[in-house]
Amino acid sequence: MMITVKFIFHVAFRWDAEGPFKPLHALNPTRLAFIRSTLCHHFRKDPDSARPFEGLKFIDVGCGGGILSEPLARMGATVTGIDAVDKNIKIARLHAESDPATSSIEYLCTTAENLVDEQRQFDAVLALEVIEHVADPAEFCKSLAALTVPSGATVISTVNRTMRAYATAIVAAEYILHWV
Amino acid sequence: MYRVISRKSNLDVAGLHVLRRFFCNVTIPEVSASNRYIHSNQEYKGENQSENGIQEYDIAIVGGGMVGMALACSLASSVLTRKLSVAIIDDNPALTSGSGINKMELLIQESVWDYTGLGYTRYNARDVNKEVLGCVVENKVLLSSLSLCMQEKEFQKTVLPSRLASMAIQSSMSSTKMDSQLAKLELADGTNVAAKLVVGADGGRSRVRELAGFRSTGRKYPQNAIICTVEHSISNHCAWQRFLPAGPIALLPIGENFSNIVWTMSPKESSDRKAMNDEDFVKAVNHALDYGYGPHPQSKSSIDKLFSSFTSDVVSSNESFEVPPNAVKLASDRMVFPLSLVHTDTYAKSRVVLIGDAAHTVHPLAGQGVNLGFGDASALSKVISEGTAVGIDIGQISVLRKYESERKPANYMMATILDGVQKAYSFDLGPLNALRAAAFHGAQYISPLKKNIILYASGEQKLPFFSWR
Repeated sequence: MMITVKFIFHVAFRWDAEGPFKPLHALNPTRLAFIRSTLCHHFRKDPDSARPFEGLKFIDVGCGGGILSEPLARMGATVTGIDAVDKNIKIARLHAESDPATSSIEYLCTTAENLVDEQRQFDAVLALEVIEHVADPAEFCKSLAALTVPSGATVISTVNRTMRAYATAIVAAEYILHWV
Repeated sequence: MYRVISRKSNLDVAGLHVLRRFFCNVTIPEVSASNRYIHSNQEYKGENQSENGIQEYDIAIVGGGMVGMALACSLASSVLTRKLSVAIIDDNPALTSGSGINKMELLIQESVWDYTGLGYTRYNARDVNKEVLGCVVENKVLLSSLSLCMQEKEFQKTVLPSRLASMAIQSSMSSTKMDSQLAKLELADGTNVAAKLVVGADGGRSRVRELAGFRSTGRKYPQNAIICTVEHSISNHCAWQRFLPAGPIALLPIGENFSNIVWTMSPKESSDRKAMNDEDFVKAVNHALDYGYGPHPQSKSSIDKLFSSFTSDVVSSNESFEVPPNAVKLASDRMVFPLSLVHTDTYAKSRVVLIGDAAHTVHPLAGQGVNLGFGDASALSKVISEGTAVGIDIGQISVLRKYESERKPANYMMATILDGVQKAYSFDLGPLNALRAAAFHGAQYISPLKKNIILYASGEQKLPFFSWR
């Protein structure tokens, strides 16, 4: 893979907690804390452990630059991150390489449907802030379910369906500021 | 010899409870115990060796003083942070060896009065239904306790006996690998280390603060402090502090017949008093703590009568003034320190954070400096633990900002209060003297106020005078 200096800037830009993606970084600890406690409960793992998800296979659908995949890997999970946008996967790979704790993440430029066809399955399937972007949400949910092992967990998050959320999250954040 | 008034700080971390247990049983660990752990963890492969031979750590604590070691101890005590690899960078030989008498004393009461003879307040642990107000502990004792506390746990800690020479935190974009995520430190002995987070716990003249380009505001006090140890003919269990025209003098028991002196005065006086012979200095100390500069506080003055309408339920309000025990001999060298008030504008940048004196220095009149540092260590340890729990990068600014927003207002408050008290005593004017005396009496007789002052100074309460019980 040919990597240019310009592309490195892209990675730094995306991962800069004070940069344009600041709201995403600010939201991250809160949603991670929720995911951690919920999945610890579901999989009956010790919430006091530093790596409670050791031995579990997780998939981050729509992983972007890896902002969710990396913390999940540090929490001990064996993580696969997928995104349909090739540039995102390149950014995520490059960033994850820099820390031994995250370098084992498998990043693939593919879709959930393709992995269903390959008959891959995971203990937990996470699709955060993705469902609002897909063409057929019902089909997408079916794919997520097919990727989940029996008695596994599927986590989906999306923005509120209110006028305020529409104005701030879709019009402002997405169309004007291009955050998400 | 350093001294510290370690009033029970608001550390709710398990490690410092361990520490307090050490104090309370007065099992003072041998300093030599710290020798054993220093290099014992090096074979532990917690830290990573990168391809170019640079040791990589999760956290590099620059400065192994009381605050830096308290942070390390606190990290060692939490299940979530115990597995982090930590390097402590300090060339102080006290970390690797130690000798001498180790002393500590539990403080049960404290008397404060001033040279005009008008103001007098006495604090007793029973005022707040406690057994002790705090502890006066020698630096060495605290350090060896902290070392021992870490030694007990399987904590991946390495002491690098060197000084920080240079630091690079700006990610260098020249390479085509994202290895620039770590802060890189070069030590004076040529060692190179890299860390996700660099903690500046290296005191008032912090090298980390300088290298990372933190801006600070502050000023020098026109005062120096003389610090030394004296011996009495009888044992002393009370802390004494008297406000003199040039600054306060404090007598702090450190166990048996020994006490520490912290005496604040003008720079000229301090050089005179450092130069004078031992006998004359001891005489000057006794003079300053007794009839020198003004009368003793009277037991029932007119101001007392004014305040007698506040019927007092605190024990110490009915106790009359006692003269502190005379010093008979000087037991250490006299050391002189300049005093300053400094506060950095921010405590955190990406990958670098400041704690303790590196972030703020305060006037020593209430012995609060290290308590603020312990508060910092506790708060930072907590945010690191929370960050580790959810697997986010602990050097990320959003994590460190949480620590800053918790500690900065609290530290500002204390610095401002201490500065105010210092200012109130930098003038000698009739009306002002009366006002100060009234404030003293308020603290002596109004029991909710007294309780609040004690709880705030001992770190149990975040804000002064807010909760009236």
